[in-house]
Amino acid sequence: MRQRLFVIALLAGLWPLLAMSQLTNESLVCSVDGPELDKYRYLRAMSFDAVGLPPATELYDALDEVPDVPEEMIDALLNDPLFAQRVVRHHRSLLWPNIQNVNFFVASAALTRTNEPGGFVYWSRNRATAYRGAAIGCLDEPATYDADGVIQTTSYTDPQTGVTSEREGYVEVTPYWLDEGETIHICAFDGQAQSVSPSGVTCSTRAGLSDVGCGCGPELRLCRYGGTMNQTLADSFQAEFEMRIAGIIADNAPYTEMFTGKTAYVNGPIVYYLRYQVERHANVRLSPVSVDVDSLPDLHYRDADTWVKIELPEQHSGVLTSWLFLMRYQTNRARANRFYNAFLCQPFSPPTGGIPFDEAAAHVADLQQRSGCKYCHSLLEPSASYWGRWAENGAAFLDPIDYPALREDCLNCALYGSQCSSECRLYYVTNPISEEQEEYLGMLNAYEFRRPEHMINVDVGPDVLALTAVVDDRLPVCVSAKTAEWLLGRRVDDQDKPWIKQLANEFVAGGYSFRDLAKSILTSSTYRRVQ
Amino acid sequence: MTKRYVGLFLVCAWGCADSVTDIPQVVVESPQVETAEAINTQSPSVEKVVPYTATLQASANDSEFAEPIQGGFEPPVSVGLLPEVIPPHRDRKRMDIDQLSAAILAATNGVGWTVNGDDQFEELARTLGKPDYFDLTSEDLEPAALFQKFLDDAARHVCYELADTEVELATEQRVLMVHASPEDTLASAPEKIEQNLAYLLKRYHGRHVALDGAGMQSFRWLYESAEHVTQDPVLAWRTVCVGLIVHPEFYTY
Repeated sequence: MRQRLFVIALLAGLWPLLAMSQLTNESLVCSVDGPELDKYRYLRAMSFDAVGLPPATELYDALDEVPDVPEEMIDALLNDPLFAQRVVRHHRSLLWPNIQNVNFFVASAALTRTNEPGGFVYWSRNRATAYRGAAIGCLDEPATYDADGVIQTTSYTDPQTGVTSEREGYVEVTPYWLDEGETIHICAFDGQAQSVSPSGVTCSTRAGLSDVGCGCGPELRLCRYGGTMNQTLADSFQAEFEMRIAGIIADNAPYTEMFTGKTAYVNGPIVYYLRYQVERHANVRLSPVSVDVDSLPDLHYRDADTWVKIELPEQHSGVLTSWLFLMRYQTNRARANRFYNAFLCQPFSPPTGGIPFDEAAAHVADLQQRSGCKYCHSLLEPSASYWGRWAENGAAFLDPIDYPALREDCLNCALYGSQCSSECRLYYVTNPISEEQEEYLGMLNAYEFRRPEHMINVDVGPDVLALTAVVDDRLPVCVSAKTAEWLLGRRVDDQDKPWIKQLANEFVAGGYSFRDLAKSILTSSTYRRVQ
Repeated sequence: MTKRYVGLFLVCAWGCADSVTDIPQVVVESPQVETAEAINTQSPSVEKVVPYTATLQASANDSEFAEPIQGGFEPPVSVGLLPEVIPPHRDRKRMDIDQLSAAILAATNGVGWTVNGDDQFEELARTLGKPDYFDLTSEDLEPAALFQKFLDDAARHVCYELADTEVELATEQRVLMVHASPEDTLASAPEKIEQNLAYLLKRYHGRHVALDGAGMQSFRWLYESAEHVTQDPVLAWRTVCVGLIVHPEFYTY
C-alpha cells in the first residue's frame, strides 16, 4: 500500500503524501522475516540444530548460485559426526545422565597421606587400628622383614594419649593412578600386595577389607587416593553411555538399537574397576558384573582415553541396561518411570481432580491395589519388573542360574530365623512386613506381588518392554514428537498431531532411522516457518 | 489540475483493493438497533453491534416506561467466520551455551571468551543455565537479562582481542576486516566499508544483503557513528563486531 501511495504522490504531485509513506525512524526498526526463512537463514538454522555450528561462509557463498538449500547440503550436515553429538545432547535432556553422586569406593579403601621429612607417606586411616593398634601412620623409614617375610614393627607410645601402637616402615610402589616409573611411599601393611592373606581370605573380596593380612594389592589396585578415581569412573560411565547413542546415530542404525543393542564401550578405568575393584563398592554394586570380565580388553587404568567396543551378553537391553542408566536410576520403578517419560511420552501423574481414595484399600501392601497408589502403580509395578534381574542400588546382573526365582537358602532363613546371606537380604524377599508378602518368601524381589501374567517380565528384560511399545506405535510416535519438540523449540500440540503421526509412520517405514526422522523435520515447512 | 484529481481518484480506488482478503467471507444481515454506537458508527463492526434480543431484554428491564424500540436491519456486513489460523511453525530459538560458544569461535576464527586460559562459557555454565541433569534437568533458553549481560561481556572480550589481533595480520588471514583494511575509512573507501559490512552480516547473522541495501542500514549507521566518534576505523570495526554479536540475529535462529 505504501508503494502505491508513493506512486500516487509522484503522479499527482502531492508531495506531502510522501511523508505519509515514511515511518519515523523506519531505518532503525529491525526487518521482519517473511513467513519462511530465506535460504541463507534456513541453512544457518539447520546447521545450528544439526551440528551446533554456523555454516562456513563458503557454504553461504555456494547458496548464491542455487535457488534453495540443496539436499546434499542437508545430508552433509546430518552425516557429520557432530550431528551424533547433538543427538546425544538431546538425549541428555531425556535421560539425565549424571552419576556424580555415586560413590564407587568404600571408605575403608581410601588412603590418606602424611607429610613426613622424607616425603609423603600414604596409609589408610580406616584400617590403621587393625594394622597398628591406633589410628596412626607408619614410620618414615623403609620397612624391614624377618626371614619369613613378616613385616617388622616397632612399639610406639603416643606421649599425649598414652596409646601404644606397633608401627612399621614404608614400602615404595608405583600406584595404578600414577604414570609408570612414578613411585610413592606407603605404609608396609597397607602396601601388602598378596592376593590371598595368610588366613586364606581373598584380598579383593569384601572380607579382605577386615583382614590384616591383606593390603591394597599389586600397584595398590584395591585402594584409592582422593576423589579423582571416583570422578574418572563417573565420567567414563557417562562417556560410555553417550558413545552408545552416538554410535547408533553415526552408523544410522535403527533407533530400536537403543533398547536392544548389545554393544558397549570400555576404557581403562572401566576395565580396571570391573576387573579389580568392583568389590570395593560403596553404595552401588556392579557385582555380579554383567559382562564377562575375563574377555574384557587388556587395558590399564591409565588408558582413560582408549576406548574399545565390546559385545555384550544376551541379557542386555541397550541403554536401558547400561551401567550409567542403572546407576542413575537405582530402583526398578525409577527405571521404568524414566523410560515411560522419555520414550513413551507417558508420565505417571495423577488425573485432574486428584486420585479417588478408598479407605478400605488404604493399607494393602501391594501397591497395585492400594488406594491412592494403584492409579500409577498398577502399570508401574509390572513395568518395573522388566528390570527384575538388574540389581537395584547398582548395575549388577542377577543371572537365573545363581539367582533363581526361588532360592531355598533364602526361604529357609526367612522361615526359620537363621542368618540370611547378604545375597538373600539384598535380592530376595526375606523380611516381610505384612502377611500378604509371606507367599513370596524366598523369591527374587521382582516377583513380589507379580500377577501370573507378569511373572515372565522378570526374565525377558526391558528390551521386550520397549519392543512392545514399538509394535503398538507408542514409541515411534513419542520419539517423533520429542524429536520435533527438540528441533522446533516448542511443545507439539493438537494441531501437530497428524504431522507427528505421519512422521512416526515414515520413521517406522524407514527402518527407524533417526537421521531420516530429523531430516523430515528439518525439511518440513513447519521447521522453516519461524515465529 | 483536473487530470491530477482524476488520477488521484483512480489510484485511490486501486489502493482500496487492499481491503480485499482471501479469508472466506460470509454476509450477515445484522439487526439494526438505535443505540449511540450504532448511530455514530459509519461502518459498524460486528463487535460494536449489540445483539438484537439482548437489547430488547435490557431495555425492557431498565424501565417499564422505556421508549419502544424501532427495529430494523442495517446493510449487510462482511465478517470472517473462521478464526485466524496460525500455521504450524518453529519457535525462534535462542542458542544454547555450547552453540553460542561455537558460534563466537566460528565468527572470530577461534578467538574465544577465555580469561587466564579458562573458557568462561564453561566456568559460568551453571550461572548461564546449562543443565547438569542432576539439580537442573532442562536448559533455560530465555534471552534474559543475565544472559544479555554475559553475552555483552563475551562480545566485548572477543571483539577487543580480535580487532587488536587483526591489525597485525595479513588481509587473507583476517576475518573482521576482510574487504576493508584497518586504514580504510568511510570517506576514503566507502564501497569497501559497504562490502565488509555485507560480508560481516553474512558471517555473523547469515543475512544476505545487497550493497547499499536497507538491510545494512543500522550497521552502516553504527560503523559511521563509531568512526565519527573515535576517528579510528579499527575501533569502529570493533564496535561493529560487538554490535553483531549482541544482536538477536546472532544468538537466535
